[in-house]
Amino acid sequence: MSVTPPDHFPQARTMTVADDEFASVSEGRIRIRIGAFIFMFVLLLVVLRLAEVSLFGDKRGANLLPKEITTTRADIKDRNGEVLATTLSTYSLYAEPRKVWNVEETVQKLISVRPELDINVLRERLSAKRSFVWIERGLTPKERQSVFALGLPGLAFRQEPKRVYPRGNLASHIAGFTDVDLNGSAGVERAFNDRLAEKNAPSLALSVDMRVQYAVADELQKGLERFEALSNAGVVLNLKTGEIVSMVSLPNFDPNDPGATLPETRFNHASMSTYDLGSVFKPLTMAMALEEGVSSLTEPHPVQKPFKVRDKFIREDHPSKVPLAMPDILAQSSNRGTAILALRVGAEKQKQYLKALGLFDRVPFELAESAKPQVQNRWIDLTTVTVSYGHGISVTPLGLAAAIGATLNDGLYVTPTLIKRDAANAATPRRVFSSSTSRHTRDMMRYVVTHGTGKKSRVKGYGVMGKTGTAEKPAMGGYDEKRLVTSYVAAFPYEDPTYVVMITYDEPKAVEGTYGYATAGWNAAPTAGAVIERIAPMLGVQRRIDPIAMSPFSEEALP
Amino acid sequence: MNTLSSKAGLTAKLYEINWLLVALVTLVGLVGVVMIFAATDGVWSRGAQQHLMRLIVAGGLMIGVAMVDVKVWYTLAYPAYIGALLLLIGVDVMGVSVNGSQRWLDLQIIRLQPSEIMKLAIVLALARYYHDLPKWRVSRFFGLLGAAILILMPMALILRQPDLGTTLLVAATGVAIAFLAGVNWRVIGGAALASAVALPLFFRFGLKEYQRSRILTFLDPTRDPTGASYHITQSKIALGSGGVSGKGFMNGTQRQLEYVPENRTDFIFTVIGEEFGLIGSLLTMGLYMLVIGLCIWLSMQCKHIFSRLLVLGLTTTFTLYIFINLGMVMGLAPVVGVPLPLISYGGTVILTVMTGFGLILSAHLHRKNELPRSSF
Repeated sequence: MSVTPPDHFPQARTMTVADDEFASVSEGRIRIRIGAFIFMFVLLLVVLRLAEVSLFGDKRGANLLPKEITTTRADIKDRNGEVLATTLSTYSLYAEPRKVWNVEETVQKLISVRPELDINVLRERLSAKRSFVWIERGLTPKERQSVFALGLPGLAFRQEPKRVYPRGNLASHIAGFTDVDLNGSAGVERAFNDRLAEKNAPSLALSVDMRVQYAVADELQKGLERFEALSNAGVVLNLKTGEIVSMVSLPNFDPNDPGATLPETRFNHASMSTYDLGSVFKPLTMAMALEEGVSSLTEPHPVQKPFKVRDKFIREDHPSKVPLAMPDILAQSSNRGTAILALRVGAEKQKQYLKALGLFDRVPFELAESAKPQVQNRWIDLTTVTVSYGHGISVTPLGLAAAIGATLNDGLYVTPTLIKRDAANAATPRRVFSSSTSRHTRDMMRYVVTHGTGKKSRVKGYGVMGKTGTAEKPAMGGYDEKRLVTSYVAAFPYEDPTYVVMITYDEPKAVEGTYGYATAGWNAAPTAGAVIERIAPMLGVQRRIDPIAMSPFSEEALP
Repeated sequence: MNTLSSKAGLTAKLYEINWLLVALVTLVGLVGVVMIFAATDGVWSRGAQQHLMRLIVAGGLMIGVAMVDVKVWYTLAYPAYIGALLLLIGVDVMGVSVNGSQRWLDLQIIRLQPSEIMKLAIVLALARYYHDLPKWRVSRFFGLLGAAILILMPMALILRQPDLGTTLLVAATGVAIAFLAGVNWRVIGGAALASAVALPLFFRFGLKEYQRSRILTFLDPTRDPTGASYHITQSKIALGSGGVSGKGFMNGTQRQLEYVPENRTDFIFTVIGEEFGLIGSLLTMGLYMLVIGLCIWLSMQCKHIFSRLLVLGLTTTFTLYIFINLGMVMGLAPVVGVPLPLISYGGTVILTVMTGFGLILSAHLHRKNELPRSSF
C-alpha cells in the first residue's frame, strides 16, 4: 500500500473515519521531536561538562612522566617522637625498547632475577615500538643491584621516593596514606599535605601516643574476635588539652599497601561512623538537669510508673519498683527517669546544650574524615525524650567522647586535635557547664561503676567513671533488636579526670561467658577497663590505695 | 517492492541494507579497538585483539539479524521476552557470582548474562505490545497495567542481582517506549510525581549498602575520599590532564601509571580524553550522535508501529548507555558500571548492541512490508 498524496488531502483529514495509523504517526512524530529535544539538552549538558573538565579541570596529571619526581616529604611522628611515616628512596625499573639489543635474552635474564614478572607482558612491552615502558616500580637497593648485575642495555632506573609506615596497621586511619606521587590521600597525610610537602619542613608531631595506640588496638582486636562484632572503634582523649592520644578503628589496613584490603577497612569508624549511641548520652542529660536546677541530686523521681509521650510508652529495660534519685537513675540506666529530667529541661535548652557540646556539627578536628551528626529536623517533645537517652540522634564516637570530656573537664569544652599541644598552641576552652555541675556528674559517673551497669570496667585504684550505652540499630521502620551498637564511655582518674576512653562495638554477639547478653556492660565496658588498666601507667596516672575516697553516694569502699 | 524474499533477490536485499549505519557502527567499534590497545599499554593480546574478533563475529550476526524479516522478530517478541525472564530467574537460582554480583549464568561454553538479553527483549516485547494495542486503550488502565507489568518484572529480577545500572536502563527504556507510543500526558505527569515520591523510599529500602554509598559519595565526594569516589576523582584528573588536544596516542601518563582502574572497560573514555583531548572526545561523541541521528531518521520511515517503536526503543537504550557512561566518567552521574557501547572492552555488550543494530536494520529493511495486528 503506497500513499499518494491526493489533492483533496485536507478533506481526507476531516473524514470521520478515524485513521488510527495516521493519528499515531503524527502524534508519534511530535513525541519523537520532544524526545530529540530532551536528548539535545542532555547532550549539551555533557558537552559543557566535558569542556569544563578538560579545559578548566584538574591539571594535576598534565605533565608527569618526563620529569623526575624529586618530592621530599616530612616525617610524621607521635608525641614521643616515634615515626609513623617516613620517606625512603626506591628504584623503578624502566626500559627503552629501541635500545634493547635482544628482546628474548633480556626477557629471560630479567625473569631469572625478578621471577614474579609476567613473561608475556614483559616480552610485549620490550618489543613495543615505544621509547619508554615501565617494567617494575618500587624496587629496593638490593633488587636494583641484582638487575644491574645483568648488564643489559636498554634498561635503566629512576629513583622514586616512597612513603613508608613502619608501624603498619597501627597507624592506618591516623597517618592515612599517599598516592604514588606522594600526595596525601587520607588521614594526616591528606589533612597536612601542604605542610608535609613544604621544602625542608620539620617533622610533624602528633598528639598520638603509639604505646597507647598499641594497647587500645590490641584490646579492641581481642574484643572484635571474642564478640564476633562487625567492627569496633576506640578513642582515648585527653579531656583537658583535647589531644587525641589514641584513635583506633577495626578492621583496619596497612598504609604501606592500602589497596590490599577491602575499601571498608579504610573507613575510620571512630570519626566517620555515626551511631545512635544510646544511654551514653544520659550523663549529658544529668548535667543539663543540674545546670538548669530542675532537680536536686536527692529528689526521687517516679520511675516505677509506666509513662507515655505522644502515645508511646518509654521503654524501660530493668524497671525499678521504687522511685529513684538522679545517681540511681544513671547507675541503673533508667530511660523513664532520664526522660522526666529532659522534659523539665525542655527542648530549647536541650538543643542549646547539645550544640554547645559540639553534637550538632562535625567534630572540627584536622582530618577530613569527620562525619556530621544526623539530627532530626522536627524536634518535638518525643525527640527531647529519646535524645535524652541517645536515640534519634546519631553522632560519632569521637564526638561523644569530646562532649563527655567537656562535662568532666570542669564544664569546659575543648576542641579535639591530632596535633601535640603545648603552652604555645593550647586550646581555648568554651564553658558549657558550671564547676559544680561537672563535679556532680563526675560523682554520678563514678557511681555507675561502683553500683551500676559499669561494674565490669572497674580497675583497682584508678577510680574509673563510666556509662554504658546499648542501642538497637535502625532497621525498616523501627529498630532491629538483634543488631546492637554497644558503647562505653569511661574516664579516669576520679580525683582529677584527665582521660576519656570511648569504646564502641558494632553488632557484638552474645558469646560464652556473657550469659546471653550482648549489651554494653558485657563487651564495651570490660574492654574499656582492660584498656585503662594497660594505658594508665603509660600516661603516668598514679594508682590510689584509699578506695573510700573514690565512692560517692555510698559508704561502701570500692576500688 | 516486497518480493525481495525470493532467492534471486537475496543479493538485492543485501544491497538494500542501510550500509551507512553499518559503516558508522563499525567505525565506532574500531575506535574501541584503538583505545583498548592504548589502554593496555599497547599489548595487543590484552584486549584489543579480542575486541576486534568480537566485532567481526558480532558484525556477521548483525547482518544476519538484519536479513530476517521483521515479521519474524515480531512473532518472536514475546517468546524472547519470556525466555529472558526465565533466564533471569535462572541466574537468581543458580547464577555465578563475579565481583560480588550474581549476573552470570554459566552454560559451560559461554557465560551468559541474561540481563543483556533482557535489554533487547524488553524493547521487542513493548514494541509488539503497543503494536497490538488499539490506540484508544494506550492510556486506559488495562493498557497501562500491561506495559507496567512488562517493565517491572525484569526490573525486579535485575535489581536482585544486584545491577542498579541495568535496572535503571531497562526502566528508562520502557518508559521512553511508552512515551513514544503515545501515553497520555496526564499519565506521564502522574508517573513522574509517583516516582518522585517512590525514589527516596527505593533509595532507603531497595538498594544494597554499597549502591547507597556510591550514590551518597556522588552527591558528596568528600564523604569518602579514598573509597568509592576514587574512580570519579581520578577519572576527572585524567580527562582534565588531556586539555584541548591531548597528550598524543599512547602518551597518557595517568593511564600508564594506572590511576584510573578499569580503564579498558567502563572508564575507557578517560583514555580518549587524556590522549586525544577535548577534540578527540568531541569527535567520538560526534560519531555516536551520527549513529543516533541516523537511527531516529530510519525510524521515521517505518510504516508500522512495531518497527518504529523497535528502532526508537533500541536507539534509546544505546543513547542511555552512552549518556550514563559519559556522565559517570565526568562525575555527572554516580558510578553504576555501565560500559561505553562498542568502545569498552567486554563481550556480551558488543553482542547485545550489534544484535540491536541488526534489529534496527531489519526493521528499516522491511519497513514497507505489511505487519498484521494480532488482537488481544
